[in-house]
Amino acid sequence: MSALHELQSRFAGAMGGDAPAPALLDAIGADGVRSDRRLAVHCNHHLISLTEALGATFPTLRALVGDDFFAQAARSHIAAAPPAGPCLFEYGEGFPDHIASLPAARHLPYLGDSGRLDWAINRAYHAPDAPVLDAATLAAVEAGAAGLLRFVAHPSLGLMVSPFPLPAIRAAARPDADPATRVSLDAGETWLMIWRAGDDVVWRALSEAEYRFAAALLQGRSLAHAAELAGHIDLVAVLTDIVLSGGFTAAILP
Amino acid sequence: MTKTSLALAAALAAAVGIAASANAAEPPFKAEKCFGIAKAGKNDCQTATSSCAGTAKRDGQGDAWMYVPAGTCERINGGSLAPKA
Repeated sequence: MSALHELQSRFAGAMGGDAPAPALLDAIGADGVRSDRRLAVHCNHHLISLTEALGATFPTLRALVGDDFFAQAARSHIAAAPPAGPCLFEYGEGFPDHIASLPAARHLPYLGDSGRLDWAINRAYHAPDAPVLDAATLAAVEAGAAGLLRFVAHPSLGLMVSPFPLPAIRAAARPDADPATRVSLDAGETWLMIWRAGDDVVWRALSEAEYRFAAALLQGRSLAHAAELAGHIDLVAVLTDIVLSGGFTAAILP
Repeated sequence: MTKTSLALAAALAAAVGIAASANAAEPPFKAEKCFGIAKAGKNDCQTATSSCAGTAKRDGQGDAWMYVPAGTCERINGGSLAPKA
């Protein structure tokens, strides 16, 4: 192991809570403040900035469990799974699983999926820009070839399925929600399509058949095949609401 | 043309007509706008709390779970509260 790599590993270990090795403290030096205290400033910043980043990415989770619990959950996640890259908005994909696995949160089974929706929204928000498929492009398709069309999804487009009423849970957790709001988990399953329209992330609740249709298109299946997999759907409605929603960028003929 | 491809062609033509006639500001589909995700200050490596705000004193350390969820989760009720397998 090179000396630099060894030093970096020790530094990362100290960020994760390990007692700092004497060699690390020597390398940091004092410069007016004791080296262990200088290292502690950095450790604290590491925790605070990442906790704030997780709070910004997971507003629903933070509201649902409260700031104190959220901060504790963030702390244990940061120690167990520190960022693999420098961009804060890319950090936290595994956090919903982590918070859902905590013993103190076991009685909130919807927590994981609520966090996964937060993440899906974050992902859509930061996805690259791409053109949007418009009606004129489809109008130019020869009638006989319609069934062969395949569609390229916008980079922001994502689908999500959950046994819980996620949009209602998210709405109830918003800071401006009426405190008297109550959501019943009996409201049932959610199939969602999430994408970015301009600068705004939007979502649309789908029926189960619409979800199957959208999932088939995302997998690159032809329009005819997707319609067949979906079963009974209103073709005009899904073409208007899903294909021409802004969630797809291009139509391709073989 | 088969019956299916006829149906698809007709549906495509109808959808194109609907989408083309929809006001650009009001798409024909119903989508819910997501509010509250302005990410000011989060796109770089700095957050609202600067590194100088993190002092050498570490707060609330320890692995003990002193906290329980105490947020808006009280608004979510009913259903099976048992974890899904």
